[in-house]
Amino acid sequence: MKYVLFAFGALFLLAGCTPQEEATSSNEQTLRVENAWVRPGHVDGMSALYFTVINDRGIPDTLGAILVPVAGRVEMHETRTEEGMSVMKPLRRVPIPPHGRVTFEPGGKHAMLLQLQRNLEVGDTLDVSLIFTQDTLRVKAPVREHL
Amino acid sequence: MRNIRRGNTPLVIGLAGFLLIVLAGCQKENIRSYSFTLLDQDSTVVHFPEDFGNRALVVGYIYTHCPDVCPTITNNMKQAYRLVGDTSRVWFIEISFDPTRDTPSVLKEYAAIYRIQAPNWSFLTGESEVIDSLLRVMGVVTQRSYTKFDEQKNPVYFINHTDRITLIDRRGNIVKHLPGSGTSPEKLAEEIQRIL
Repeated sequence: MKYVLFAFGALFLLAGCTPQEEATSSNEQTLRVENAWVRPGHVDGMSALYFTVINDRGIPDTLGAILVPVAGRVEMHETRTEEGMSVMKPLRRVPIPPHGRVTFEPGGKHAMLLQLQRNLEVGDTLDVSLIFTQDTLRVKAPVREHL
Repeated sequence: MRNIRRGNTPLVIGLAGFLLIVLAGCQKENIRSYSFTLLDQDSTVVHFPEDFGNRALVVGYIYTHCPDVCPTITNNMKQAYRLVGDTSRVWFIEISFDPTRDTPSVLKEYAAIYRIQAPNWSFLTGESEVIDSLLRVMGVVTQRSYTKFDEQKNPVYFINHTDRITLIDRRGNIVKHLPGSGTSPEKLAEEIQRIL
């Protein structure tokens, strides 16, 4: 019986040592990204990426950059209404509070995809890397006209 | 009694003035007195608004390098188009306020990307001066934001703009301006039904 318990214990420890795939990690007590989607766009033009970051941890984090291979450049912006006009303000970093969530959505925060290297059509799926201070999350984002 | 009447005179004049202003505000502006020569996505010359006859018009204002608000306006119009059902008496129009970059072929690509193929849907561009005049009539304000240059020295800029969809009835009266990205397709469809 002792050996059986020892074997289970060893297996448990080994499982803990297995490298975790950060990509679509959705464990509790961690940082995760849900509902990622991208607007259609044409080559050399631009598009927008939307998603929700959920931080189940008790510590804050910061979203500092986003990489999308199909875009020459990605910038984070926020749409606001000022004096009756829609304006966009660049965001250098986006704080993610502990036990909180931050949503990138139409009319609000969004990641702007510039210098598209090809057309983005409904049905396509893009690889997206979100670089936080403490993690890099990789997600798939489908191209849609709206959520 | 006479003193009371005298005392009321400024009040009466003020009230009359207020009523005149209110009545003037009720007077809907008619766009039939204007004519703007533009190009559609097929490079066909279009005279706005006369070429659209007696149809009601749903007019949105966009630029294709807009990543967030303008695609939402396009999407709201597209969903509303579906909800309206019988669209034989209405024409959907999207006018670019970035005519330098939004050539007819760029607008055609935008239409294709957003899968808009309805025969009664036009994307319009034109000479900057003509577009500016049209925007003034529609009360749309635009303001170019910071300009950067990419590796190929092409200007990269964004445009702050009024977020608006205008409804024009079949007689050419501007009936209503709605928030372009902030009006749900259901609400927009309901408003369109009222002007048919």
